[in-house]
Amino acid sequence: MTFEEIIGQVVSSVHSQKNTLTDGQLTCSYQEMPTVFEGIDKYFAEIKIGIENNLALECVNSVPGALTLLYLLKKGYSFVLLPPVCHSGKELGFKPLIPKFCQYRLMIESSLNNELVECNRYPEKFLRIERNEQCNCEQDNREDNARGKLYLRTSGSMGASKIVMHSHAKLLGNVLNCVKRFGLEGDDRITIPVPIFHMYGLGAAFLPGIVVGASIDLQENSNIIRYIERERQFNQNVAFLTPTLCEMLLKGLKTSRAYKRVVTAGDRIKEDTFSSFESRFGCLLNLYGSTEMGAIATYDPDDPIDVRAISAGKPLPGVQMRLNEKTSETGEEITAVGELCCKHEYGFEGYVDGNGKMISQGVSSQYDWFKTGDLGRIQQDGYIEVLGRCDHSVNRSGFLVLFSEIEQAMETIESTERVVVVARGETKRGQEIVAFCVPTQGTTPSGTKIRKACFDVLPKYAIPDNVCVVNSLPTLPNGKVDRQALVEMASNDHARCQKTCC
Amino acid sequence: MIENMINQLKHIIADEIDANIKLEEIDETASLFEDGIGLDSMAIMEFINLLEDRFGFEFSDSELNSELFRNIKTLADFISTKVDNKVEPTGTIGLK
Repeated sequence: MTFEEIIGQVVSSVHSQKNTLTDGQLTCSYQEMPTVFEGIDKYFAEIKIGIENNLALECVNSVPGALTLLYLLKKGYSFVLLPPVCHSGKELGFKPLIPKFCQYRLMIESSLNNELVECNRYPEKFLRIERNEQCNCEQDNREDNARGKLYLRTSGSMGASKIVMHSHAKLLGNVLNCVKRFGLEGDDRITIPVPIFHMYGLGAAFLPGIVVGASIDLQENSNIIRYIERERQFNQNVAFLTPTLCEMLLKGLKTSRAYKRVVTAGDRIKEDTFSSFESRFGCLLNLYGSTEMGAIATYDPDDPIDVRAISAGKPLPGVQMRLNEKTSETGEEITAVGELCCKHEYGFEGYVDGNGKMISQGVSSQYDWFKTGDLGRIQQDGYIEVLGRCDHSVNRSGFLVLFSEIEQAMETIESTERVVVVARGETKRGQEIVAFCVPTQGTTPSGTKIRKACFDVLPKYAIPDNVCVVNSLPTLPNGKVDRQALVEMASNDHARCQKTCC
Repeated sequence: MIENMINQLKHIIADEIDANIKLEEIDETASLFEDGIGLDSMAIMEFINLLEDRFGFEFSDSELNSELFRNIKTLADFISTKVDNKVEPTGTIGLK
């Protein structure tokens, strides 16, 4: 199957024709989609954009954004999917990096009249196209094997962002894996408040929803008020969230819901958040994946909650996992802990540079194991447990200390709401550990007090050397905590950290 | 009365929410969200929780709507009626 075949089927199926794609302002039924695609066809022909061109799509969670994205996949275009330039208007310094191998830049207009009929016939009203001045046009006549690619940027939470190349065909394999494991069906009503320009929103939520012909609600800049208002109209039974959004619903919604399925991905979700969320809103599934590999592991909805709350589930079909052992013990743990490595039938093709040239092969050779950079365990029954990032661990007094374990333990201290741990220079015991704590609302604990409380919840070698109390944590455009910024804060801002001594 | 409430809400946003918004920048008729004052999803949630604690009531799901949360003025009107209808608010009214 190809995207063209699947989209063709779904727009002509009697089951899904009446189902809709909506963003709160615009709504388009599956039946209307072919008209929109024809409109884009004509518009592209006028500008003389053809399948040989590489495009950069700055995509928002809107009906026009989603339809343009579907069009490019259906036609087999090679394109880079990027966040819009002023996404949420808060990301200073976040410039669009249109790679040189893209001839055109496609931008989605945000404010539109509520007339999709017009959009159908006149795509130029929602689609703004510019030539990429920086384009390196030597790439114009590339070989055929450079067609049908999707390029995504990694989030850059681990340093410089990279361009990841996927083939449409393998992306579809990834999408179908998600459809099956999440048990998505044509009657589902799926709400997506996570960006569809990231692998999670795209490959695990949006495209799986399209493939089954489900109704989809795309939310841009979601907050509790928008979520509730949209829910009143859309009445979803499936939601794709992040741990932050789960917490937002837990705090903000006064009544319960009976969702068929809620998926969360990105950061780890706290165990108590997991269980209270599930008891109020329905079956919650953790998804483990990456920009390079797409969906790697998740649960069966039938797995019991105590299993689902802890690990990341079992590998999806076509995925093999193994451990690059870092050490055989962490504290008193016996199960091996190491870097999770992955072979994925539907994984990425490789990283490319700004000219579209392959920098390094992905796992397409089938011989290489992709190092996820995540530290974890593989349990005997095959469940994957993700403990944190590999570089989020240090050696202290001969013990391997995982930041995630310190964070989890410290979050059980009454006055701490959220804890993030980073490493700084060296101490006699190993690398220095600095913990940043956001206090529980209504409390004003000192760093010294929190550090004292650490002695009750952590082994001595894992007690942070410094505890800094902060009002909030710096975040990256994708909402994840900006650990690099914290490392800088820890290094430069001694005064703000309340230095404590043993 | 309502002026007082508007001022209290402005102070909560400027002094208690971690959103880097200065008191003098807050216009009570501007949108609370990205197209106005600029409270993001986390800040809105924090704001709601602070209001509930401070004024001793809870917003129902249906009260969390964009009409009521249009701007500081509409919100102040709503909270004033809520507080007026209570004999004795459980929260502390006024600034910290």
